[in-house]
Amino acid sequence: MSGTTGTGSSGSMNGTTGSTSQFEGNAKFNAKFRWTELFNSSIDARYLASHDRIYGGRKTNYLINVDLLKFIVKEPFEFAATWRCGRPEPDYKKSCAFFAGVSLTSNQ
Amino acid sequence: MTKMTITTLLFLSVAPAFAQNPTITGLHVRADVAVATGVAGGGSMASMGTTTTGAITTGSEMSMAQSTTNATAGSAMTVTGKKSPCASSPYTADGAIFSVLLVLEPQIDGLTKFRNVNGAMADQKTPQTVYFMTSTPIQLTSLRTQRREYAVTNKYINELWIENLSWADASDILSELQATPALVTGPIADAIRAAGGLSYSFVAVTLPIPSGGRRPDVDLTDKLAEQGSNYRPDRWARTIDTLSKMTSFDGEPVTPKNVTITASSNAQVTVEATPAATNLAAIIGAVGTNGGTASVGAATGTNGGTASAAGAGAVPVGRILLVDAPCLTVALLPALTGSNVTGGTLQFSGRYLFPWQQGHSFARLGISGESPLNSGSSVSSLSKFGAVFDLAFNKDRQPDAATAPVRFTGGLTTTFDHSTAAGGGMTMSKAAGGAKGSISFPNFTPCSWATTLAPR
Repeated sequence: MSGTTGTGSSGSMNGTTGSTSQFEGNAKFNAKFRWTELFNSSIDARYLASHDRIYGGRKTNYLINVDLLKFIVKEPFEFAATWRCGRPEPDYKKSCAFFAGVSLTSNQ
Repeated sequence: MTKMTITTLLFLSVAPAFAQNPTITGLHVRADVAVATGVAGGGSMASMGTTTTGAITTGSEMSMAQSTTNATAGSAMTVTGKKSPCASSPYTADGAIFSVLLVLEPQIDGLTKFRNVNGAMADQKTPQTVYFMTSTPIQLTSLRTQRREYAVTNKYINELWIENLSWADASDILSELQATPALVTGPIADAIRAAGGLSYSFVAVTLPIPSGGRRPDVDLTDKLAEQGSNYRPDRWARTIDTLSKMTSFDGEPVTPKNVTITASSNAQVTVEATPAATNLAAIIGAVGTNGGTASVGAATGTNGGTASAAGAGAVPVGRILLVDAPCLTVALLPALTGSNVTGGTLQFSGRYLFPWQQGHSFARLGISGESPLNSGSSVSSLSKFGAVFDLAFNKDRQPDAATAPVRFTGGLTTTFDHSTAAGGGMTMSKAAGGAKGSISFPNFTPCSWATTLAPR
């Protein structure tokens, strides 16, 4: 399943630097690939943009999560090998890393 | 009187000849899909209209199916399905509204299926001679795929049902049946061995020959329906008892006989699951096969359609089945390597879906959170909490009836996010609201290098 989502939102941001309001737009892309009955992968990507520099001094931001490989070890336990990259809030420092572990999923 | 005599003579000349050479050449297991169209989660579904007659297409068969459905109203319409713990079942792919049927079709020399009733067969040379099976000879209690084990029940004569399945469960079974027929042929072979060999016992009834617009075969099935018979094993036993005691029909005498047929030593068990899998893939959508023409190779109905509907036609016109993310996920993900990352994260996410208007509209409530495994680290370790509420509508386009549709979704969204940086030095809270639009594609078609890319 693949798809794109675009949202436009207005709101307020509150933090250590004070409160303010901005307009923000973001686009999402999600795709899931089931290679076999057992193995699957997925992509979850977000791109955010604002007229103001609200993303740690930048006008844009991105977050990418790629589940390189997922499979059910024994329901409901699922193994996941994940790569994540982006500038997560609130400090917006770039962080990219590989993760591997187990998730417990209900009623998937 | 002359006609009756001829009929009797025909019976005497055909039935003994068949009885002398009874041979089961094989057993064909046809997988099928049924969808509960009402509210799952217990209670009666009678008012919701659970029974449909999806893939039964001919006029005469439809007539029989309708009679059967009417006769069983109020009994076969009760749903024992469990409600999904995290989704409103009726309109979601993860609702336990799907069933996979294993329809057992004995392959017997000289006999063919009688009016789409799995529990009856007609003589090919003298179609008015009908053989009603007294019971289902194969009994299975469970079926295990790579993914999980499913309970099997003998819900109707010659039908083994696996009920209360999500779309993913049903797809799991059908996909594995296609790839590994031994998934079912093995257990069935074991069951046959345990029973001492495959054997069918029948009550053979030779009906009067059709004449002058009289259709004894239709009359018989209608009368059975009028008497409240259906294809549940216990009720079917009563039907067989009634048939075996029948002395006349349509004003002419009949002489039911007991016949037992055993399988030859080289009888083969075969499986057919591809049409059902195709229908299941197409069922995720509102137009096309939903309530319309079943896809190519669609199954041909089950026991007159009682409490089931073969093929994608089972879904009411206009329904949208929603595919959503898992309702609750907790993940423990240690970091292997990376920049500006700590030992890993503990994540959770959950959502609840409220569909209405047959899935054309929905509200979605979701929450998510993340916590670092070692929050004392000075590098970028974040704690997050987020909530989202969507109010949206769906519109599907399904140019290909055999695949799921392209879905357009639009609506309103509100979110709240709170995050804390390493050591609690920086926090941020954000509330937002706005418009949302999306387009979803079910799969990339054609795509021969993958078994299937349909969402599970």
